[in-house]
Amino acid sequence: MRTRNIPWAMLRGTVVLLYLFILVPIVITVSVSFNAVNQSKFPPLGFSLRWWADAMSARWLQPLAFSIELGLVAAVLSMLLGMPLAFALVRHRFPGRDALTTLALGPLALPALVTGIGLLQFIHAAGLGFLFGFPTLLIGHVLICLPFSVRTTAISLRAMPPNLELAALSLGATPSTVLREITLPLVKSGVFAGGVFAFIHSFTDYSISLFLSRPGTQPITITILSFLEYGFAPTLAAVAALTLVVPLVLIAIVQRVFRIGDFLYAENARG
Amino acid sequence: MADAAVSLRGVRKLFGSAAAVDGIDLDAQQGEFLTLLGPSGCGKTTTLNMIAGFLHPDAGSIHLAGRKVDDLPPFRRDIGLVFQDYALFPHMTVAENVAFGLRMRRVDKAEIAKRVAAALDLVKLTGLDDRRPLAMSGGQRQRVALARALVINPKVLLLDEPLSNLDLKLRETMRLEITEVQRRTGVTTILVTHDQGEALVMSDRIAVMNRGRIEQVADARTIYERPATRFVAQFIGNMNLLDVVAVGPGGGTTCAVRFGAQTLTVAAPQKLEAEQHVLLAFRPERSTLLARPKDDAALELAGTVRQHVYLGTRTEVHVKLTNGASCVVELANDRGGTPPAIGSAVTVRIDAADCTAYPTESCG
Amino acid sequence: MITTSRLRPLLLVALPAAFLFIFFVLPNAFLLAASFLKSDAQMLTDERTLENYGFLFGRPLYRAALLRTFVIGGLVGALVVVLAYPMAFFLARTTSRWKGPLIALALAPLLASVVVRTYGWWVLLNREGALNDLLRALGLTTGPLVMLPSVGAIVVGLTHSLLPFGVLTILSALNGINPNLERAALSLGASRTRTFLNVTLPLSAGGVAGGFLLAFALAISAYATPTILGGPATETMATLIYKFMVSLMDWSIGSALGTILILSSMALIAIGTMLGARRATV
Ligand SMILES: Nc1ncnc2c1ncn2[C@@H]1O[C@H](COP(=O)(O)OP(=O)(O)OP(=O)(O)O)[C@@H](O)[C@H]1O
Ligand SMILES: [Mg+2]
Repeated sequence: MRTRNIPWAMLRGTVVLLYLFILVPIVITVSVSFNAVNQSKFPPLGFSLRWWADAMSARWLQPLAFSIELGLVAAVLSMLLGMPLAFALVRHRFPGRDALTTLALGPLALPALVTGIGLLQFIHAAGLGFLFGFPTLLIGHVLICLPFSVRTTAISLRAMPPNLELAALSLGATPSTVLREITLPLVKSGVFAGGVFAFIHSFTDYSISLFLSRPGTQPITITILSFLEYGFAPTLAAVAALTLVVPLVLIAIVQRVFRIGDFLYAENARG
Repeated sequence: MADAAVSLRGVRKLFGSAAAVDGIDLDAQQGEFLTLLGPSGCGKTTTLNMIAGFLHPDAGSIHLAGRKVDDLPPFRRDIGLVFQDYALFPHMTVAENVAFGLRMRRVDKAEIAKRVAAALDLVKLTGLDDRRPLAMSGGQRQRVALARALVINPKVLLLDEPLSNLDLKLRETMRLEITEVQRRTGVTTILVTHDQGEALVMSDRIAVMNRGRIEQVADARTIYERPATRFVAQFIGNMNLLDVVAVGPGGGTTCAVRFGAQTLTVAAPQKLEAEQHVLLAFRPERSTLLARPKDDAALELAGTVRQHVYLGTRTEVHVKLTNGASCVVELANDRGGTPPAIGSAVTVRIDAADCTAYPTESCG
Repeated sequence: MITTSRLRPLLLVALPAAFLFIFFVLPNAFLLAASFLKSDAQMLTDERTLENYGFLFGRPLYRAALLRTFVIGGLVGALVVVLAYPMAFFLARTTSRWKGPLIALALAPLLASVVVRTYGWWVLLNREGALNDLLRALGLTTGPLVMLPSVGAIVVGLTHSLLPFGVLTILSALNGINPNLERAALSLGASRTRTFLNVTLPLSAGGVAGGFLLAFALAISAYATPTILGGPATETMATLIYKFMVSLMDWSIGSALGTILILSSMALIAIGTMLGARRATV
């Protein structure tokens, strides 16, 4: 193709440095967890797995499991709410459509931290105190997941060749059959990707949970944050590294079904 | 007389305040191959979508085989559709695509297998049952789409620019193949295209559309040789247009027109007002070049040769007339003769029988 | 495209719209209202007041925190854009067969919680941290440099966590440029640098503005990074919100701070739309 010149070589050098900048802190966190001493030292002093053993205790596994559970339920619920919404926004013209589009993306546009306080006060003031704990936290997480599910569903609906559904109709399929046999199979992977993004967003979130979680319903991020007040023990590094495993495993599984890079890229290319 | 297979009466469709289809009457007879031909945006697809049931007409009604279908949803109309982008289901194999319509009609399995095989045979795709559409060439996809639409024995087959995504050679092959399949199955077919070559080759009759209206419905020869309106005359083939004056009121059949000192009686399908400027149309290949005037009943135009365009079987000679207008004469290249040299004075001669006069305004 | 009843979209959106209205619109409206209410003995009263805002804008301590938050937002936005641009440009133009994985790697940090991403910076920057160890080993310093807590550390940490957003936004702007425009400029005799400066950069300006504003908005509402890398002298709006809501139980001041954050985010979105950054759409 084009001849690469000196500026291009300089750009490559810069990009290598940038990748280092991106990855080094994460690598450091992971390696600190292997320290032999009870200090967060980098490079690690000696090697041991004792902090990992600590991290595997119920005290940490319980919030980790809770985060996974919360993320799964929130992702599924947000898909159930988001899919019909995306469907209506893409396939129908109706009054208030633009306002609803803005609203659907709202939880992503406004700071989740503040949405959290708003929700906390609102539920308190509305006398819905019985919802505190898991229900409130779940509501918050469904909220922040919703933009992802709506968006990914909308993208895959738009990516569908427009005439497929018409072709099926002309061949005698009723609208519900078209939905079942044509539309859903074709948006399946997009919807699934949306669910995965939603889960990861929920799993890595701390903003919405900060004010909504209670003892016993604490996601792992909040647990780590509250322990950081007492210092930066290597156990925390091990726990933090452990939380990396969940999304990575998920992405690895998903990669077998379809290439998530393609999906991200498609979203970009949409322009 | 039997009912027409497809019949449109006063069909209108508005998008906002603009009429995409502006009052259409159209009949396709049983077994006929009818083409809707017109420029982009003239409302062809909209018309097709109303026949298929994807759009509801704002006025008028549509009958299929004598039955009013205005309140029938698309999936109850028994229509075979071939889309420009084929719209093959990417998650199904070729056989599954073709079987889809039969499955929707709850045809039993053995019967489906038989009919799918027959349909694939009809479009010469035997043995490709298990392919995925994405792994096929444009021409093959086209055939799958055709088989899928035909296998349900539709009351009418609708084709929306089915060939426009194919390259030139393939397009010419598919033209003949689709016509052949249509003859064999005898299915009433409506083709939408903006390609006049396609329309002339494939159709029993052509309906020329312009701005949501039908300008003329006739067989290919009539459309080409006796265009009913100036739009049809200009849209199909090449046409010379000359500014002349109508001598007396006339139209409907013939009218006398005056060009300079010459007066002649020509065909005039539309109404013309006396002493008004009208347009005289004639085909380049129906005109000839003379070295000097002959002074008989034909129209003769003096001019100078400006340019030659060599087209293989023919040569176009562009002539600048003495009154400032210009026209094109097409000469066959078979006689071995060379056209008059550029710059030479010539006379363009057209038989009165080959001329038609139209009002200056195309839609009156 | 298909004519359907008007009822259908209504049925589809009823539940999600109700959910968004009850749990997103109402709570935010409530927050706005609460910011104008007096708080008494840690309870909201019905009395309307501007005192909460007066309190925040009146005390130098809080005024400084507000200002600090926006300075951090601006610095982070600028740094994110400056660092993300070369990265996005490289990713958009490279013909390497590793392009896909490289894009994934650039975005991979999004898979890690901000807590994980910030922890590494603490290990690197604290008094006994890796950087001080290195400087001492090289003999460049005698005593430890105090890099934590500091605004600088917060800016670095936030830039690091928000970089992927900048890369995404700018990459999508670059991908939206018709490659023939650059070829046309080159064919007209512009050098690569001129082409970049006169064609590519202006055409991707929307993405740059979008990336800046997104990073800005996310930075001013960030809580974890200022908590981990900052201290009492580097309070930001988010850490103040936490302090007022949880430690001091003063919900009306918390609401006023939240309202300021919401209004700032909305203002940033509005500016973005004005500057021609791609409007968010589903
Ligand atoms: N859904 C729609 N909303 C608004 N206007 C439309 C819609 N569909 C078509 N139109 C308009 O109606 C007119 C006719 O469109 P139609 O698609 O029927 O044209 P066409 O003859 O099929 O053209 P082409 O050859 O380009 O396919 C055009 O002006 C088009 O812009
Ligand atoms: Mg069309």
